[in-house]
Amino acid sequence: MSYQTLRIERDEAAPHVAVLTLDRPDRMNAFDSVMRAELPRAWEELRADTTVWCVVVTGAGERAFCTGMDLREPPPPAPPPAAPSATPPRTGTAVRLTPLDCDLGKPVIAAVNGMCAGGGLVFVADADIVIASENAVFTDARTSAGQVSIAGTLRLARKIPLEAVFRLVMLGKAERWTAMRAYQLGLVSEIVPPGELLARAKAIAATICESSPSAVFWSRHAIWESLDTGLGEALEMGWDVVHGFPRAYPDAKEGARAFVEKRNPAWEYQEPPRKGERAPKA
Amino acid sequence: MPTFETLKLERRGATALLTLHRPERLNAINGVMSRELPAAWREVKADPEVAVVIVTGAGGKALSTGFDVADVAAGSANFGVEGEKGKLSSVKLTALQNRCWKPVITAVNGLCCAGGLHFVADSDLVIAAEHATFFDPHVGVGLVAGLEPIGLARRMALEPVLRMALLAARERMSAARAFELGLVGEVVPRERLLERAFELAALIGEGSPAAIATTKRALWESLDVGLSAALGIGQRAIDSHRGHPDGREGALAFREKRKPRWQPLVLE
Repeated sequence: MSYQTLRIERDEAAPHVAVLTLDRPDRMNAFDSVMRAELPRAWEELRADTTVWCVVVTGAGERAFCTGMDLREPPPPAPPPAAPSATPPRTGTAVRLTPLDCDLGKPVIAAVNGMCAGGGLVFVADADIVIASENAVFTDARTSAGQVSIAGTLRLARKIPLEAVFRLVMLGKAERWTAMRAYQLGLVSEIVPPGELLARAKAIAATICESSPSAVFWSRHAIWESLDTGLGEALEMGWDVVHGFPRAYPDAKEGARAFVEKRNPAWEYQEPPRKGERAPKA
Repeated sequence: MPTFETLKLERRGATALLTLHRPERLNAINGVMSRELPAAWREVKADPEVAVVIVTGAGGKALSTGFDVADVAAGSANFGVEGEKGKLSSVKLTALQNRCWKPVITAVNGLCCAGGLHFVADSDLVIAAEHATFFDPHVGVGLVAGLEPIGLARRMALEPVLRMALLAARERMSAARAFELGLVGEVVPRERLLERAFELAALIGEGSPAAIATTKRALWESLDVGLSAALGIGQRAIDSHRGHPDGREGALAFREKRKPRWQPLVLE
């Protein structure tokens, strides 16, 4: 599939890793209407591709990772007003840009290669692993521009200390985090020189791909789904996954056999779970 | 602004400064303060001139040391709002407990312990003087640490919260450690503390009051539910702000390279 605002690249050295690049470097990789339409398609393509086990998301160029909504464009149209009937509370978001919102179901590493601002934070909030180049900057000027800062920040509030999130959304353009502050806060886990960022992200992705893809898919699925509920219920859900997995997926047996036989396991790719899916089915 | 026995409420420009004012008792909360605080938050909520609130303690020694143990020991304690006694809703110390959605900066000017931790647990921004310390003596005096740690556990790593609850007054978390853990966002020399809080308030004041209040409320309410339901709350908040004049004004001001003129905030 081809895209105007995105690039999807593969590398023979890491055959199960795909790199998705937000590719509007002249606009600091901000989302325009084309990118907003292309992102769900790209995540769908990556989900369906059985050779992709892990995805790296980054921005084109060295200046910016992503700066959110392109302010040169009018904002996206409002969704149709909710029916007045007694519908259950809505969950999820109307704008579907990120791997979580588009149900990729596979691990994602965000490689923050520069400015990450406003709505661009959604990719950091929704990534499983985040690494940054030394020149990365995290900021959110949405309230400075009269906009609410909610997309991305509600998930950030589950990942990092809350005070830091309030600083971002209330101080607006006056609050800028260096890669080091993001590292201190646990938002990113590694800082690397700009020229080495993508290689490092791919190396982490390749390491993940050494494990059983299904075990990885279900583990991250269980962790994210656990955030939907209280701890007791989350552990019940987790147990259903742990208990059901070896009955449904041959990788569990293969992993044990390979370990005993001291050889590399031969994993069998299976479709990742869907959002809300409770347990592996035998 | 009204006067209180145990508080000082002042306004400088668009910033209200709420000072817990029993310095001789390290700003411990007595019955009077527990009832004056809801009155102060009502005032803050209703005053359209107030955009941001700073909470701090009088004197250089403490933000607050929680409910006054002397009153408890003397059997003269009479905490909480009349008519709500015996209920969680009788504890109405903080902006959050009083459902005030204006941004709050807590400036921790010394000891912050026991019930004083409510102010930190419920704050948006928190800054601290270098000599500030945080600890929770409840279990050491035979009481349960059952509210403050629950709030704190939603805003920082869990181990330090449990450590604080279990070690009681035998260990104190320094301002430096609180910064490392993200419990506070800045540590400043004590003589700079209030000045810095006012600077931050002015920076917050540059943003759209409506967008900030809606964002703040969505963030706090999102913590009441699981993540998927939280995103539903967020989407409704985004929808409710759509079409607000501040959105247009922000874009216009950006294009015209001038300061935006925001709508005044009206809270329910």
